[in-house]
Parts: sequence; C-alpha cells; structure tokens
Amino acid sequence: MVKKADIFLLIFFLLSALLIFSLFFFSPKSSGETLVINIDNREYMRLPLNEDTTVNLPENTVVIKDGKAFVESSLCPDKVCINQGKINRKGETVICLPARVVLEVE
Amino acid sequence: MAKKITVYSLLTILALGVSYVEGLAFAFVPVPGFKIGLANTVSMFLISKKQYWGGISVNLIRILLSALLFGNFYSFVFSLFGGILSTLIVIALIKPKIFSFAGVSTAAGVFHNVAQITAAVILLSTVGITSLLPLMIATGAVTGFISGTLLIIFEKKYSKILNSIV
Repeated sequence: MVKKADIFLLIFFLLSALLIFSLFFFSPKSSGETLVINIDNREYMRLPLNEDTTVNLPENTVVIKDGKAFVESSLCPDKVCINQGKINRKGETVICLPARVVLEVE
Repeated sequence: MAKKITVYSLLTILALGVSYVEGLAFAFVPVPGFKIGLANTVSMFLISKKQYWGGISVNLIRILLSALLFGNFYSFVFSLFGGILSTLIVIALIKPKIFSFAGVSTAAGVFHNVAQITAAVILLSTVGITSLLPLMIATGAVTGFISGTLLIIFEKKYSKILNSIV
C-alpha cells in the first residue's frame, strides 16, 4: 500500500523543486555580452552577442540574432540543443551532448 | 547458487528489455533521456527481499549491457552515476520501513537525476546545466512515485510467482 509518508515525500520533493526553480527564476541576471562556444571542453570561439552572425560547427549551426544565441540546426538525433531555445543572459547555456558542444553566455 | 544465477540473469534481461522499451515509448518527452525507471523496480524488488548484492548486480549489469548495446560512453557514465546513487538510496530507505516502494522509489528517482546532473557538471565542466535541477528533481520524484506504485500493484497481484523465484 502507498503510505502517507510516501505522499509527504513526493510533495516535499515537488516543493523543493519549485523553491529551487523560483530561486533561479527570480535571481537577477544581467544580460551577457559574449557567447563562448566550447567543443570537447575546450574553448573554440568567442563571439560578441550584439553582432548577428551564423557559425557552422562540425555538427551544429549556431546563430546569433538580435542579441540572442541559439542552435539553428544539428545533426544529432534528439535535437535537444535546438529545443533549449535562445540564450542571452549571463550563465545561460545550450548543450549538445552528442556533439560535445556547450554554448555559454558570459 | 545455480537457481540464483538463473533468476538474476532472467531478471537482468527483463530489466534490460524494460529499459529499452521505455526509452522508445517515452522518446516524445522533451526531457533528455526521460524514463519512468521501471527497470529499477526489478532491483528494488530484490533489495526488498534482502538480496542486496542481487539488486546491485542486476542494476549494474543492466546498465553495462544497455550502454554496450544501445548507448555510448556518455550515456554509460550518466546511467552509472544515477544507478549507483539510486541503488544506495533504495538500500538505505527500504530497511526502516517508513516508506513503501512508492516513497523509496520517489527518493531514488530524485537522487538518480541529481547524480546525473552532477555527472554532467563534471564531464562537461560547466555549471550552467544546474539550471535543469528543478525540472529533474520534479520529474524524478513523479516518475519514481509512479514506478514504485506500479511495483506495489504488481507485487500484490503476482506475489505467489514472485515469492517462489526469490
């Protein structure tokens, strides 16, 4: 049988997830100026976010447009990197694990 | 001994098949690697029957086989981190009998996902991925609760068969 303690534990974890989310969400983040592209844990390229440009990496196409960076297309099977959307605030990342590409705003 | 080897082998293959089918079934969920963790209920069941090494080895061999057959180095490391921590949590929480399978599995799901994020932070040397933490805690809790509850129902229904094999 499912016990009361089980339900409490479930609610406890959901509330802590909500708490951590709101901490992330409401913490002030300034918009960054530079997009750093890392491949295989090595810095590959730095790009200013205020210039529109398109970069072709071995497996991904990264686009900077209107101050925001995103992955436009990717050869990886799951397309998680594309679904992670646009980033422009300090510390935000887009990660393509199969291609070992990490985009990070600084 | 021969019976144990046979039972553990069958359970490992069961867990392997379940985890593969689950991966296909939930491929549409936009969370990377989303599963409800049914494969881990196999090892949780063994641990609840005090077969600790059985539970641990079924899980570890399943993770290894799954990586060799369907995965890559990265998926192996992620599953291994998650598998080891969640199995330890199951062992720690099942003994005091405060929680049923549902609660134990809830905690295991959460810590499985937290371990995976930790693995990602180490492997990719980026802390940015911690922004996934709230999502991973919430999905880990809900999926763990569901798979634990399914094990409760399953054990009730098939208690005779299950008790005869372990």
